[in-house]
Amino acid sequence: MSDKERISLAQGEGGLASSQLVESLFLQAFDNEHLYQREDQARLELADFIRQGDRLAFTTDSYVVDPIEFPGGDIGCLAVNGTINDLAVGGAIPRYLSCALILEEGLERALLERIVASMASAAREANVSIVTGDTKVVPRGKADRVFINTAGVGVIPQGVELAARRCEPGDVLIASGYLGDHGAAVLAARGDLALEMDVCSDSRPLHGLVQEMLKVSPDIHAIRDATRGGVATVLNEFAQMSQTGIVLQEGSLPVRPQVRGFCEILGLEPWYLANEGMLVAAVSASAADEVLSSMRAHPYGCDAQVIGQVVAELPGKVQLQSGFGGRRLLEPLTGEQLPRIC
Amino acid sequence: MPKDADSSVQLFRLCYQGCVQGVGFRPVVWHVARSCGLAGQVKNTAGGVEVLLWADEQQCQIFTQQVSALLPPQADIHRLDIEPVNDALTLEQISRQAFSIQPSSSGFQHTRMPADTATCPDCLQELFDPDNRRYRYPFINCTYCGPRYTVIRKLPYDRASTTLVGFPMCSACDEEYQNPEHRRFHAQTNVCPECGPRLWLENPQAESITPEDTFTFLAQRLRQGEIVALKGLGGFHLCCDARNETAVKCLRQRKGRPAKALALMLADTEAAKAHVELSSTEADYLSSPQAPILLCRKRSLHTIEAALSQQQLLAESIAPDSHELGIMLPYTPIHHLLMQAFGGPLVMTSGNPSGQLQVINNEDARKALAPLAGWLLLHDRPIERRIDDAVVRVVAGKALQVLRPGRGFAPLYLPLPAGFNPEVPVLALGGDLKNTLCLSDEQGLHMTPFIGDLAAPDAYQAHRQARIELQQECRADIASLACDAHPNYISTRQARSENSPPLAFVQHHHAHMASCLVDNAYPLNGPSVLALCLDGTGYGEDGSLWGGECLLGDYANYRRVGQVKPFPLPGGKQAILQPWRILASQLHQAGMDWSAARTVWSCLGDKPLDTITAMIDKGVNTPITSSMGRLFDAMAAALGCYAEGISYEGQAAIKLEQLAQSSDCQDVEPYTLQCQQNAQGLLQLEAAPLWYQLVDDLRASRPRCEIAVAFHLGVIRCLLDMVYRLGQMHPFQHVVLTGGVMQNRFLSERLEQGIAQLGYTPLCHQRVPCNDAGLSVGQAAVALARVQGQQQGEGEPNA
Ligand SMILES: [Fe+3]
Ligand SMILES: [Mg+2]
Ligand SMILES: [Zn+2]
Ligand SMILES: [Zn+2]
Repeated sequence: MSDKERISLAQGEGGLASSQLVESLFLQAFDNEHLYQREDQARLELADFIRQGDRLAFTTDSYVVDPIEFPGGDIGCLAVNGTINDLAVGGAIPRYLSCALILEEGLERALLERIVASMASAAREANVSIVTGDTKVVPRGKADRVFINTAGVGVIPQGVELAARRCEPGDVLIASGYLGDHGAAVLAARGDLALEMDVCSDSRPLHGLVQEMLKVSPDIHAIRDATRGGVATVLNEFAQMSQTGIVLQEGSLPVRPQVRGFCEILGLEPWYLANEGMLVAAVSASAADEVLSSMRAHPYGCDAQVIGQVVAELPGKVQLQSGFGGRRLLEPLTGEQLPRIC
Repeated sequence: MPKDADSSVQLFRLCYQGCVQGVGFRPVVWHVARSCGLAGQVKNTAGGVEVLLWADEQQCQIFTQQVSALLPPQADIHRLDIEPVNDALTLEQISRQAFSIQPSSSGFQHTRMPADTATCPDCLQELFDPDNRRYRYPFINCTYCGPRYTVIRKLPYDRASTTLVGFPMCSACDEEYQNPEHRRFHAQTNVCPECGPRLWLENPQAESITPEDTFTFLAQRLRQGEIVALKGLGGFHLCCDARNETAVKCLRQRKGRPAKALALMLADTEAAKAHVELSSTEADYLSSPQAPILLCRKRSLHTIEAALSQQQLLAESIAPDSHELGIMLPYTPIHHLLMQAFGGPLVMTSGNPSGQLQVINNEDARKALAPLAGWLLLHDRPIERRIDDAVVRVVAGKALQVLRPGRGFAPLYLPLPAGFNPEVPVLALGGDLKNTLCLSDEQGLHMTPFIGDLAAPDAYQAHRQARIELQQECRADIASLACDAHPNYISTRQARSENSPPLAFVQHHHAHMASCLVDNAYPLNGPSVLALCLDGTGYGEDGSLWGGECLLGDYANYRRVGQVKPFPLPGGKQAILQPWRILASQLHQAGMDWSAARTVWSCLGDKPLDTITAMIDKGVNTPITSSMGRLFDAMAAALGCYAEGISYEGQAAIKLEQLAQSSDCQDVEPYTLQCQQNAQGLLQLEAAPLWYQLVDDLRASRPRCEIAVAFHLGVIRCLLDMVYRLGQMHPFQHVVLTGGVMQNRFLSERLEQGIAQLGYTPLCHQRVPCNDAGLSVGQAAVALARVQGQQQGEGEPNA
């Protein structure tokens, strides 16, 4: 492979090499008027926002996933969808993203091109524009190939008030899809675990689904996407923020058989695995049926399931109800799943 | 009558502290005062029992000696303070003519909670006496026996503060209560058929059934293989005919308890001897007022078969994994009546669906137990506090060891060892499994009964409740809240998330070690000891899972000087539940290749061993452990014991001990385990060589029980070698034996002996369990030692 096919330190120094990289890669891929202005900042029309709602949502996240490419996605689509979903679960319609890359010297250009293309296509699908960005190159060994930071802004329509603290006893908990697909896909792709694993990451944007849900029930209490720490961790957040208890029915948790088998072998619990395109909603019981059918009508919610209830007992705690009638506490994940068992 | 003229007579106040309420203490005081001819009064106070006595110095001394000599069996005097009374009003008020028992005064609770005790011989005699007015009355009790802990709502102990408050005494009972000469004088739980609680039977549809005689009826049902839920002292039991395999299996299936040993109730010690080896010491404990579940060695099958007919043999599935049986004798009138009607051995297991706490009220029983039992035997005396039956055993032929701190053995009150300052209260939250809590205050150490696994929501709630009660019991501010160092322990996490007193994180095995030191009253400033902590797993300070550690130190500090050589646990918790993984890990570490291993162990045949290797090599969900318990699991799996999976904690290792105990040949060459020093100077027990010996033995079809013996002996020899070598490097005299693996009698009895032979003093557990139920006591001691250490540090003058 020639040097031309690899990223050099000069390409992050702001000189000619930098602007060549920007022009030849990012401008083409992200393709929008804001970028073409080539100013130091994107300039966004306020009036445009105001037409859509009364509050701006603003979030940021950094992406360092290993491996960079995995079944069902790569770090690029993850960086777009992840930030979009952080906006989406607040009820916001995502509009603009920033994109900052930290590249390791020597990164294959072809890989970078694939990642950027993936970002561009994810942004296109979600109807958001990547309007500002930055690229730095660090010497070999100072970063692991590519790190991406994205920030995003979106608009929250009037009357939408999604908040974990709003969960109340009686609420029904709905998951929008299968648990743990992303976590399992990435783990399987990472290691040479001598395991056949036929599952793809669920990386996808959720704002369309959320807007459909809000359409049938504007008063949904809370929505979170179950990323790091999985469903168990999100529900612990719900329980703690609202000081309610949560009971999950193990039997109704949607887990693909291959993910279940994968977890069995590795000794992992699917409700702790990360997802990148799956949300959990707390909905009042009266609205639950409607919300559920609206979700199932959407391509990204077709596998939605009721997974549990919000209760008054044991505030702050999540209980997993097994098939045998036994219950156990599901604690949030901190670090490794180190066994408590003696 | 007192000699009023004698000027040396004065009024003394005697304050008794300890277990002095609800145990017949005041009647003894009354009798002694009367027989000495002394005037005054006695009453229960929040602090214990207060006696006001007109006497001279010598009379006072004789009085206290006689009280001590006549102390009722359940009473225990912690402390006695004597002072002259100078207050004029009191001098005026106290009679100089007679001695009386006065009503209790309330105030801050400062006395021990009395324990429930088994029906006494006098009550038993009355129970079966057709002329007695309490003939066959299922709630008969007296000053010396009956419910206490389970019915007391608050102290001081009076009827009004028990769940019998709704049963006012009839005139006949009240007469007994008032009569100083009667056995029921001041018996707060005094009841009879006229005034007391009543018993009834319900079918699963909650319909009351009134057979001619309830117990005859139940005995018939039991003989037909049915299951009965009965309300006892500290909770419900599920019972069935222990000789009926179908009934036992059905009970297991309904309760969701596939294999863990079930306790038995037998009519008396003679009946027990038909099924277990029972020494006279064991027989004494079995029939003691505490009436615990005693673990006894099963009689070998051929001796039983000679003695019993086929119909009398116990069902095989009572305790399939163990060489021991847990047995107890009837301890309430209900049990006695049932046993009289039924005759044979009964399974008597706690009434709860798997993973939940014992049910204690009728409503919950109808909901949770009706699906498990054909009949519910209910009564209307509410149970205020849940308490499980205690599980104990006799080790080395003499010493009693508590394994589950339940009825009769908990709450446990222990004096603080010398050197501890009791004025600095600390509260310890215990471990997450087998949870107990422990408060250390000026009364000493106070450990709660067994609570259970905190991941079970109702155990978690019981833990929270117990904590609130202990905090209320403690008068001063709690100086330190002690918990395990495991970041994922529910108890630890909870403590962290609160606005709590300063937290003291105590390493799991340091807590085990300290709990044993407290149990042996080892002084705070005693020289460093060596602790063999042989355990399942506990969080180690290096982030790995410890469990086979040699710690050198004291209450405040320790350092690790030896360990089981660390090995991977592929799958974490999953490896603990599926012992074949641990076997695979050990074989991998020993350098054995999979194809060879597969030819020897069929349990590995269909397993994804390459994935296991990858998990180990890449560290995917594979914590590292130095656990002795896990090494036993690996060996058990290698001998075909529950390699695929266990259904309760320790099952594989328990089975391995059973194999060793059942061997006719105990005198075999131990397997080779090496004791090696690693680069950091740590001594390590290296198991690798034994796997190759095992392969040879299995290929040669050596009996499994002989192999189990060789393994046990190999581990013991290596541990003793380690102790010997550590003794060359460090000065110590005492060797602590602690951790859950010490429940293995084969191992612990020989280790204790071996350590004594090396010239060291072994320290073993007695009242504080060696398993995680004892952690809270150790945590409290460590936290207290640290707080005191800091205070001493602060107190030093600045140079
Ligand atoms: Fe332990
Ligand atoms: Mg985020
Ligand atoms: Zn009695
Ligand atoms: Zn009466």
